[in-house]
Formats: sequence, structure tokens, C-alpha cells
Amino acid sequence: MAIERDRPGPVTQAPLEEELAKRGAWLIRLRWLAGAGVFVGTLVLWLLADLPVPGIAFCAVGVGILAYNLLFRRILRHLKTLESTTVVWGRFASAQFLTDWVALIVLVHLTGGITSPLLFFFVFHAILASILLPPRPAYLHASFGVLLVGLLAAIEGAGLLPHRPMPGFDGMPHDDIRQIGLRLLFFATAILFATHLAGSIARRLWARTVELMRLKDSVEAAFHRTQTLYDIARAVNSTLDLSHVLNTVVARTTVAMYGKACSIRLLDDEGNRLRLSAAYGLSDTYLQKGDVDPAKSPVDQSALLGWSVQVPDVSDATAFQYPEEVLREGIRSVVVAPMLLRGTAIGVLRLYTAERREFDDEDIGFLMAIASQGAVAIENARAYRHLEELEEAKAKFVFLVLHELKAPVASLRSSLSILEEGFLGEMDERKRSLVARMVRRVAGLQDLLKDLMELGSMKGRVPGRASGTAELCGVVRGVLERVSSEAERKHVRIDTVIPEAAVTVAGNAEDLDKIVGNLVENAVKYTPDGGLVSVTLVSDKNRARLVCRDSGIGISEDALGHVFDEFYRAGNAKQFAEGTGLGLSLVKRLVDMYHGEIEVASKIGEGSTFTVSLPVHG
Amino acid sequence: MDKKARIFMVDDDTDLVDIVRSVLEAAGYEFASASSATEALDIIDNITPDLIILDVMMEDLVAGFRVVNQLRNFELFPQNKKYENVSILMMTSIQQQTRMKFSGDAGSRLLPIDAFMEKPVKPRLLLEKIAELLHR
Amino acid sequence: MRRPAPDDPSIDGVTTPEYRLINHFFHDFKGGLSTVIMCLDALRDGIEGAVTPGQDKWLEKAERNCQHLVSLIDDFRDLTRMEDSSHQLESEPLDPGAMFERLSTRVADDASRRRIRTAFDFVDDLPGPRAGSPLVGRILERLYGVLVDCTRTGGLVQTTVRIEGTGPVPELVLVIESEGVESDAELLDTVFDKFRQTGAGLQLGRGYTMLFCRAAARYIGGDLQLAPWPGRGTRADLRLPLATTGT
Repeated sequence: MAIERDRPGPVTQAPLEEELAKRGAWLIRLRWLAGAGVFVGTLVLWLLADLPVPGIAFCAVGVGILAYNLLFRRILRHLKTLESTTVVWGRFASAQFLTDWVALIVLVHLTGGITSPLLFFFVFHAILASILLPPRPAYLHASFGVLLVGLLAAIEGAGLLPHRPMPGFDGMPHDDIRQIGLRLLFFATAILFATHLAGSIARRLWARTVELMRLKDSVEAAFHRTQTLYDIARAVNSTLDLSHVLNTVVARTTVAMYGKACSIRLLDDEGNRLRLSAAYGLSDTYLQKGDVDPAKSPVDQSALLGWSVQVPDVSDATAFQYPEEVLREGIRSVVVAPMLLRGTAIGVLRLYTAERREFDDEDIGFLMAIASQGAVAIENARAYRHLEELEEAKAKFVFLVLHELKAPVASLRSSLSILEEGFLGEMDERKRSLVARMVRRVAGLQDLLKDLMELGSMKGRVPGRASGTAELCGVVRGVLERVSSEAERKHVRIDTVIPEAAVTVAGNAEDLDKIVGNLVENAVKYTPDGGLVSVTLVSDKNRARLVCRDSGIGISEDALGHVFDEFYRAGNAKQFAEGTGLGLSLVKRLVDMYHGEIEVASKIGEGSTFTVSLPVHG
Repeated sequence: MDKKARIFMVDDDTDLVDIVRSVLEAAGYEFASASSATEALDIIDNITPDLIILDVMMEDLVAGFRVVNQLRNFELFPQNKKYENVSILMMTSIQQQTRMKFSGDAGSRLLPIDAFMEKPVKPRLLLEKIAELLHR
Repeated sequence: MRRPAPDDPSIDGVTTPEYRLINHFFHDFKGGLSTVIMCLDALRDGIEGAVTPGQDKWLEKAERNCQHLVSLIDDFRDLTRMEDSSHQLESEPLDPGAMFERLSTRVADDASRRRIRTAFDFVDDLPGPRAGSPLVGRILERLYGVLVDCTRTGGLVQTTVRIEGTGPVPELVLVIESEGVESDAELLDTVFDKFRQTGAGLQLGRGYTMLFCRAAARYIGGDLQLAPWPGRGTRADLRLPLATTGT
């Protein structure tokens, strides 16, 4: 069975990381606005009014912002496909903020350094950072912003860079250290305070978000587990194919538990080895490690006593029979759950994970539930197999019994024949007819034995017997020759149409002879004296059709649906002739076996037509 | 013994019916037969038998029981009240065919027949049983 | 697919098509034999006129053949039923004293034809009327049939009968010893193996008789064991409960 990954599996994005990615995208969207704002705003001011700042530089910064934002967007997409962790998303955000600081400080420099009105934008940015980042990086970023501004003021004050104040904002000296220091102090206080305020609000929101995410996660996991249990239960109840059920169990369990692999081991008949019965996600080399001896594997021993055992880290455990193999397989944690059947463990279910993991009560409970479902499946399949074996043994026994009856029936027939043939003195007509009647009855019993054995041997027949090919025309001619004397005796004419060319069909000659023989013999048997039987064989390149028509007693409408039932004999047939009621069942079974079809049409008093079609070979 | 007693045999084995006919006619009984439950119920009114010999498995597994039911369940088939005193002798080859215990139930409410014999039946024993039932 | 569970009461042989087929066969086969037997009897009784003694001898032979087949088919049928536990455990009045009287007469009768001597030794007085399965009579009849068959001409079949145990279900314990070829353990094994019955040269239990006897004895709560009778022949130990409980 294919395992549907209808829900994000363990390796796909978890909701928390998803949220971080979303925020990263939000920052990028804001930046498009900022970059475009700088560029377009500059242009507009330039055209409309006297620009107080160097327009080209400003535009260049705007374009620059847009350009690196484009880069960030690509990185974001790339990170999404990599299914990154929270740490990576944090670094990504920091990188964006750092780049932004640089862009901002360039703008600040262009608008007058420490006297720039754009310093206010630092506050916004600090707020953004504190929303998107944990407290420590947020404060670091805020401090870095302050440091950058302080550095710029110092450089400009020292004259290393030109000071270019904006008109109207140039009242403040840019080289008065006291003034600058005071300004910086206010600036730093504002930024750090904003960071603190925004951060604490954002953290509270963030905590709620995370909690909601976790909740959603666990609800989905619970749903997934319920679904898994349901699927397993359904598999258990829908088939008796044990390996199919157990393979379903291990595969679904692995997926539902976000595990690496899962296996089921069952106790052997002696109860002292654990044999592998199904596995998912384990390498062939690992699976070849052989049976587990519970005595050497404490975890399995505990499980067999009814306890589930978890080993969060196999590297420091001595609980396994094959510790090296476990490590080499890349297994980190293992849980072993008992497969309990009416309180007795019949095997163990193991779940493996590649990363270190502590399993909680819910995990364990889930595994126990799955393990017990598996145990039920095993019992069902075993019970069924047992029944099948019994049935097979019974059929075999019956076959031998029938065989055993053959000799006494034959001997009975011969003692009656001796009487019938007058070896023991003549009998009058009435006595002789009574004896003849007995002989006929005993012959009927012989037929019954023969037909039933034939029917019985059809079951449990090796498929090979149904192979091979045979030439049908020859078979039909053989049958016609066999029935000719009986037909002559009854003055029944047999018309035949048989093709000159060979008709080769799938089947063995003996079986085909039974099919044709039963039909033609029946036709003669149930046709009154002076009647007509016609046997027609036609074939095209796909099918060979044998039509056997008689002018006999016919089959009533009620009886038509039953003629192929075992031991069914229509009322008029019973009165007309002896029969076992098995011949047509045998024909039907044989025709089915060779993928042919058989049809019957009849009208009471007018005759019957049986049509058999068989696939032509080659 | 009433030599004119009429025995009605319901059995789908025509050979058996013929030989029983010979035996009973030789013993001076009148004999009639039917080869299915349906036929038996159709013609019984024309025959007015004194005793019925009944097979179980005929056109279906329980055909004989159906005959018994119709002849003995007077609430459902009041017209058959006239056969109340006609003995039914059930004769079948496999007594537990229908998982019904015959011997203990002969004459009981579940299977209201008068006697049960398992085939094969010796002609002598059959005649004895018939005489016994007719003289009840 | 219907899922059979071991506790499901509807699961017995009766539900399988195989069982219906076999049951149907038993019915038809035994029906045919019954008709033939009836015809043979009628002929011998002279219903169609007298038959000569020579003819009668063959008619009798044919009838024995038929009866043998009937008992085979009855045994087979009950064996298959016992195997799927659908055989009804009936209980009927049983008088061990009368039963053994009949049995010993019949066995002695059969045996005398082949100049086989029989001896019955009743250790205690046999109990008065009891209840038991009708299988009890069948088991004894079949068992003696085989044991007499495998006794050498002029040999001895001796039986010791005693009652063991008190309480509601005492057991009838029979030790039957027959003089003949001493059976070795391997042969005795195959006697009860239902898939190894058709081999030639079995003196014991051809036609599943021993298999039936043991299965029937066990089915009603008893047992049958065969052992060599060192230097002399074969010994059968049969235990049969005399009253089935709960009836």
C-alpha cells in the first residue's frame, strides 16, 4: 500500500518556522515601500521644489534599498525551500536589519548627521526589530543603531566627513561635543525605550502565537494519529493477508509518529526468538541482523512482559542485542511497545527516530494502541490460516475416503453382474430386470464416486495443470466415437460440424475431453429415442465455440439457473435418466479454470443448447 | 390386518418406490406414489391414503418436512384435518442430514410424525412397522 | 471478506460448501445403496418368486458388500462430523449386560465361521441399565469386526471387561486381545493416521475402521489404544464412558 503523505510529514515546515518566514516576507514588503518612497519622494521634491539635499545620492540610496531588497527576497525564497530552522530565520532577519541600518545611516549623513530629522526613522526601525527578533538581538540592534549614529557624529565632528545639514535644521552646531552627547543620549534613550516597549508587547503576542501554533500542531497530530489508528483498524478488518496488514501498520506508524522507521517482531512458536515480520524505513543490512533473543535484549524482554520501553538515546544504552547495528543505521531514539493479545505479548512493535526524542505518555499510548491492533490482525490471520488448513486436510481426507469406497463398489457390481448374466441359473424376466436395475444403480454409485473425486481434485489443483494447449477437433472426434454406440442404441442421430484445420486451445486434453464428453453424453442421455443431437465447433482467431444442441427433454426455466450447481438435478431429468448431478458442475469448473464461458439455453420439451467458448491459443 | 389399506409413498428414488411397491402389493396393500413433495400434496386428496411413507430430501433438502407441516399443522391447513389419523412413516438415508434428531422427535411437537426408519430398511421390518402403525 | 474468529459459533463445517457437497454425497450414496439392499432383500424374500440357493448365496454376498459400504459411509460421515464437532451427542438407554450378551453371541458366531475362538471375561458384575451414546454399540461392533478379521484361523480373541470409577460416569474398560501377526509399533501408528490408510497389506483398520473407533471413543469421552501383544498378536484397550453427563 502506498503511504499517502496527505498531511505535512515530519520533515516539512512546522508552523513556528512558517510564521517566521511570513514575518521575513512582511519586512521585505515594507522595504519595497521604503525604497520606493525614498526614490520617488526625492524625485517629486526635486521636480516640484528646491531640493534641500543631494538628489542623485538620495535616489541612489533608494535604488540601492530596492536592489538589496530584491536580493533578500531571493534569499527568503531559497530559505523557504530549505525548510530552515528558527535560528536561520533569526539570522536572516538580523542581516536585513544590519543592511537597513547602513542604508539609513547613509541617508542620515546626507541630511545632516546628528542634526538630521531622519533620526526619527531609527525609532521605527528599532520597533520593527524588537517585534521581529528576540529581546537580546533586538537590544543589540538598537545599540548598534545608536553606535552608528554616534560614530557618524564623531566622524563629522572631527571633519573626516563633510557635515551637510538640511536648511532649517542647521541651527545646531555639529562640533559641540556637549550638545552632540546630549542629543545622542536622548536619541539612545528613545530608541532603547521604544525597543523595550515594542519588544515586551511583541513578546507577549509572540508567546500567544507560539502557543496557538503548538496547539494547532498537536490537534493536527492527534487527528493524524486517530486517522492512522482508523486506517490500521480498517486494514486489519478488511484483509486476512497478514503481511499486508503488518506492512500497513509499520508504514503508517512511522509517518504518524514522525519517526524514521518502524518494525514488528513476533515471537516464534517456541516463544524464545523474536522474528522480523514487517519493517518500514530500515535498510536491508539492518534487517539482516537476524532474530532477536529477548534474553539478550532487555528492552524487548520488558516489552514482552507487557511494558513499553523507551530509549531516548541509544548511544548510551546497553539495552540492545545489536547496539552497533542500531547506531550504524542512524537510529537515535527507540520505543518498544508490546503487542498484547488478551494480556499476553505475542511480539513487539518498535519505533525508531533519527533524532533524539523523549516520548510522552500520549506517544506511548498511541503506539500501544497500534500494537494491539496489530496483534488482533495477527490472530485473525492465524485463525483463518488454521481454518484453511483444516479445510484442506478435510478435503484430502474425503478424497482418500472416496478412493477407499471404489473397491467395494466395484466388487458389489461384479457380484450383481454374475447374477444378471445368468451364470447362477436363469431368472425370470421380472427378477432379471430387478437385478439389471441394481447393476445400473451400482454403476451410478461408481459414477458418483468418480465425479466427486474429479470435482475434489479440481480444488487445490496446482496452477501448472491449467496450462498447456490441446487440439480441440481431435478431442471432439474422440468423444463422438465414444458415444456413437449409445446413440445408435437409442436411434439418436448426431450431426457434426468440425473444422478441417486444427483448433488449438489453452487446456489439457484430458480436461477438454471431460468438458466435451459430459456435454455430448448428456445430450444423448436426455434425448428420447429417435431424437437429434448436433455438435458444432467453430473458431476465429480469438475464441473457439462448441455448440452442443439436442432435441431432448429440455430444462425448465426454474431449473436453468441451477444446472451448474453441485448435486442439482432437475425434476424431469431425474425421472428420465440416472445421473450424479455433478457432471455439469465439473464442466463449469473446468471451463472457468481455462478462462472460458459456458451458456445454456433451453425450452422444456424442445431440447437444450450448451455453448462453450474457450480462448484460442496463439 | 386390513388388507385393503392404501399406502402412499413419497420418494424421489423411483427404483426404491418400485421395489417397495412390489413388496407392499405382494403383502396385499394398495399402493400409490409421488416423487416430490409438491406432487404429493397435489394428489393426496385423490388418494386418501391410510399411511404415508415419506422421504426427506427430494426437490430440496427439507421437502419431506414441508409435507409433514402441511398435513399436521391444522391451524394453517384446516382442510388437512382429515389426515389427522393417517400415520406418517419417515424414511431417510441420513438421519442427521438436517441436524435434526429424528428418533427422539418422532411423535413430538417439533416433528409430528409417527415413526422413523433409517434406510436401508429390510422389507420384513418395513411390513412389520406398517402393520403396527395401521393397527394403532 | 468475512472474517472468521475462533470464538465465532457459526464457524463449523456446516457453513462450508465443502461440507454441503460431502453431505449431499453421503445422502445420495447411501440412498443408492439402500435401494439396492432393499431390492436384494426383496429378491431373497421371494417377492418376485423364489430364487435358487446358488443365486441366494450371491445375493447374500452382494448384500454383505452393500452393508459393508453402508457402515463405511456411516463411519466416514460421522468421522467428518466429529471432526467439526457437529455430531450430536445423543444419549440413549443402554444395558451393558444385554449389549455384551448380544455382542458376544455375534462375535462368536462370526468367529466360528473361521474357527476362531472367543472368550469373554467379566471381572465384575456389569452394572444395570445406563445411558450412553449410540456410538458405543457402533464402536464395539466395528472394533470386533477388525479384530476378528486380523486373527489367524484357529486363533483366539479374548476380552476382559471391567468397570472403572464410581460417580456419575464410570468407564467401561475393555481389553481385547487377538492372536495373529504381532503388530509392530510402526504399523499401529499408521492405523490411526488418516492420510496413510490406503497402503496395501494393512491387517488392521483398513477402511478407516480403527480411525473411526478411536475418533468416536474420544468424541464421547473415552479412548482407544492399540499395542502389540508380545509374541501373540495385537491388544486393544478401549475405554468408554457409560453415562454421558448433562443428559
